[in-house]
Amino acid sequence: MIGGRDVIIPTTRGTVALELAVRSITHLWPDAVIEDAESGETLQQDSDIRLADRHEILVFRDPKAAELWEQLGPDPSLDGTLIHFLVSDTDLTVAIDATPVPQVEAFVEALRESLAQGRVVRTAEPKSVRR
Amino acid sequence: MLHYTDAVGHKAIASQVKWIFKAAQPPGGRPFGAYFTTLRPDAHRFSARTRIPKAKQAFVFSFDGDTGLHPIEGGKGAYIFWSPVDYEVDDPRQSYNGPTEALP
Repeated sequence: MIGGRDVIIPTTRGTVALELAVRSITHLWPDAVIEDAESGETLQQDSDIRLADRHEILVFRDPKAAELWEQLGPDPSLDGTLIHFLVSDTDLTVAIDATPVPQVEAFVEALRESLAQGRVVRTAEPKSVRR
Repeated sequence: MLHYTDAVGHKAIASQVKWIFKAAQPPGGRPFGAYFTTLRPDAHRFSARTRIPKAKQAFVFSFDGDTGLHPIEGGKGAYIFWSPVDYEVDDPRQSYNGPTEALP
């Protein structure tokens, strides 16, 4: 059975939307691990991240979460540690836990609003990240 | 096309000449249905991309064709498909069932 929840945000901004989403989550998760889901390439996290020609990005909260996801899969102990973005010409899909933790839910809602307005998402400060 | 399941699910489906994948209600507000993927188990970050629990990755059914299946809404529709009703696969379409680690 396929798990998780997919939040589909209509947008025609493509790569720009993907970059905005990834930049925004790294504000929330400063130790995030960013991977191209198709190639497996780990991407450098910086304020000027470029995602042209990439379509599917995984963002793990931190290196430990990235390692545990490989070992355990979607285990409840890993809730709130992965956000998965997929971009197309018509939308940005944000794949999250079936029952997301409040921080992730708030992030997705802020992202939805930001994509409509073209600004970087601001939600909780990094200190509030659940460890 | 691939369908992953656990030992109990494998036994129930494989015991029939015609495989029948039962539609069910998944978590997360997805539509009621039977779900499939084209992602092989060795795809990069398979667990993270499909969110299939490890226990449900133990066995796999592989079959040809996708008649009656629909891509799910959004970006994952590139590799995840579903049927809103029980999905039947008759013998000529069946190619493999068994432990996922032995998938040809």
